[in-house]
Amino acid sequence: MQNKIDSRHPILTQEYAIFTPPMQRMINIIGDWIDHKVCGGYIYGPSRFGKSRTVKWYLKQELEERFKSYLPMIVWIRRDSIMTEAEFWNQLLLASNYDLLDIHKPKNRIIARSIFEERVKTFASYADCNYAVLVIDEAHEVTLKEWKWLLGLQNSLDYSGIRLSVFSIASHNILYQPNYLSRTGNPHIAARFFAADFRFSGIKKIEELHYILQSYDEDSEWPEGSNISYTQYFLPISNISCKLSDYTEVIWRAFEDLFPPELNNRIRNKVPLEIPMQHIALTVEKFLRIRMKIDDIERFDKVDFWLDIIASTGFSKHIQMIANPV
Amino acid sequence: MIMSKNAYPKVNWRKDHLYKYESYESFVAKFCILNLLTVKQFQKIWNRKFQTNQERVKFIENVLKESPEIIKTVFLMPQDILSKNIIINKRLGLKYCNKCLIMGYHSLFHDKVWLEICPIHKCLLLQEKILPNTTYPTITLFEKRVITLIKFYRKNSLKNNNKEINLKSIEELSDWLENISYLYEKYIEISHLDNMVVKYTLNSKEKLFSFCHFILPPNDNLLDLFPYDIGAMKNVYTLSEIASYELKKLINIIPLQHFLIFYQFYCERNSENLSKEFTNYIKESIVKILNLHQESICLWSDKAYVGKWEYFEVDFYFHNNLYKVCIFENLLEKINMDWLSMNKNKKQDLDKLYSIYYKCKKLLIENNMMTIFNENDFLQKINLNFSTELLSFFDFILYELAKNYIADIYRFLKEEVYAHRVTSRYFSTTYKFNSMNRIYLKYEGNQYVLINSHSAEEELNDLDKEHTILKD
Repeated sequence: MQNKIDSRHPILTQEYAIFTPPMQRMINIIGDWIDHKVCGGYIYGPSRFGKSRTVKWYLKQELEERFKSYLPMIVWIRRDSIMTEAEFWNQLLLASNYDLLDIHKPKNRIIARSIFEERVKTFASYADCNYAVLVIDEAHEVTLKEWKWLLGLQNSLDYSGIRLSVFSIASHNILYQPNYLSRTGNPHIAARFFAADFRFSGIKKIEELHYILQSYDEDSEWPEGSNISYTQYFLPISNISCKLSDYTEVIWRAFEDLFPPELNNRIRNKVPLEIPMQHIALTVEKFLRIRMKIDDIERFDKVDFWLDIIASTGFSKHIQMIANPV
Repeated sequence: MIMSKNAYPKVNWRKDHLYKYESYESFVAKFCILNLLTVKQFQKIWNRKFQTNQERVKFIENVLKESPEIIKTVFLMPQDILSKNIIINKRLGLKYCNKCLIMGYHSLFHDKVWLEICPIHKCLLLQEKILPNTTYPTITLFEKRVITLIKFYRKNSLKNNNKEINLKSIEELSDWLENISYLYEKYIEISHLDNMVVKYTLNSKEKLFSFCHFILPPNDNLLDLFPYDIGAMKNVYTLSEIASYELKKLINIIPLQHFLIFYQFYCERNSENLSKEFTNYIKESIVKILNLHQESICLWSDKAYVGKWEYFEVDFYFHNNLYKVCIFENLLEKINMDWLSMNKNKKQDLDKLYSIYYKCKKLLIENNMMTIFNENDFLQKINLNFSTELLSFFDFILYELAKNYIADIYRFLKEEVYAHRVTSRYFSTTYKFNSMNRIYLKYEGNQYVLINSHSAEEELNDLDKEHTILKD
């Protein structure tokens, strides 16, 4: 056991990500889109399922492993809901890690737009290809005007021989956008940026849960190079090794039990059990912290123990909230 | 992990966009175009971000990912040997090759004052005149040059930057210059009196090229760039090994330049040395210049003094006096003071010459290279303990220097006086002779070789012909 728990540990700061099967599927589908040079696609799914974490921690690296080359990718997190054109291009420049942009003196829209266009060309040039990818996180916030500006950029880049793909990552309420755009006189935008789609799912199978818990047991490490997994770091007082993955079944049963009963009764067929990654992470984090103080490891085999932990993460309420809009 | 986090540059650039031997202005122009900066903004950012050239080079290597080999040729190029030896009064504008610019390339060699032909395309270099801007006086010459390049690049080049540029001939040129600058150091340049640092002018650059040809002949590919007479340099004297050893010993103690000043004084003080070859040559030249002196050329006979030239000539008055100066008489006086009676030399810094003389004398005595007879006598006699060959070698150097000196005077007469370029009244102080004909000493295989680029007879004959035409 660690004598003193370091407050910088990722479990405490929550600055970490565990690779999950849905993440793998999302990365694969984006890889396929890049392969086919799809000009725009969107990935949607309920919030807290791990889409943004995939983008932040794995997307670029995994795709580079797949393509065995640099990936000309810019990731932009659409933050503000209201934006002028100048702000829009300046935000994109910031997202592209542009060094000559002074945030106190933002560039005007024409200059910022031209610089961003050159920026995309720079990315393509350094990747030795004529292709670049713009990934927009929280894309449900992107307005019609912004889609139009992006369309203009895509066109002028196309003229210079550079293909720009725009992949949107959004919560499931982006689903209405393609329909809305095509019905309101902008089918070209819908056709350009919503040409392909993919639903980012939660954890649906017990095998997937087992895989994730195994990652906590074996595939994680902190401090770097120490060979100590997250589970090992938070060993109980008794120092008895107990792996998280040993409790997969009991955890899964607890999640099933906490699935909102009204969804079970009324629209059970429409809403299958899908566990958001965040609640798995919160459960594990809480368990690891509790485990340090408890000697009696037999308690962990009981469903009631896990029900308490999972209930405290707000799982049921969250599922109710995200299930309703569908 | 294939890629690091900062694999893409944080500024706009294109991979491998920097070419070998590209001019700094060209780099700045490209950077400004891609990042939509003005030249002023670029300079501000550049100077704020990096304090030293090393930091800049590091940035270009690490962030722009350009190869160190190329960076070296753009940012760390020492001044080439030709530019070092040519006086550049002012930069007239931006020189460029149109064909290179279309391909997005402007070499630092394109802008050299001594180059007239593009090494890559073998076409004449064009020049964009950059006039002083009165509307925006704050714009510097550098900015103007970059702006000119930006305009060119915007027009055509950056669209076609995929074209491969064959830089072989530029590389050859650079290698040739590098080799020459290495070999150049083996030559000791000798000038008359204490005129140590005399650069070539743009008009006399052919002499410099001839010398470079002499040091290391360029290959056929580069021969087009320097189409100048290459026969001018001559090995005029090769010293024997024994005398060379003596000379080497001397040069280790006293710089040859200083010793020659001492030697000239020495010859002047010893009456038996007065009839040396170089003094005879100078005396003959004085007579020749005296004969050239005539009314139609002498500036003293301008409109205000019509008729007086003959009057004074008849009355044996000298044209030179406090108020009026005659070019010919002034030249004669100068030659006399520089060569025949150095004690009266007003134009050279006589104190300096004397200090060199006494310093040399002291060093020679200390090293047993000189003996003094009648030490307490006012008219003490000194004797140099060198071999006869070495002494005659010094005479020979002075003779060659005298030939060059007179050739310069003839050139002045030909180019300035006969061409009627000297319009106002001539004052001796207004004209400085920049010697175009150099004398070099080279140490090669235990022997010293004297090399002169001058062919005095030709210039003298030219002037004689002109003189006869005028007389007729």
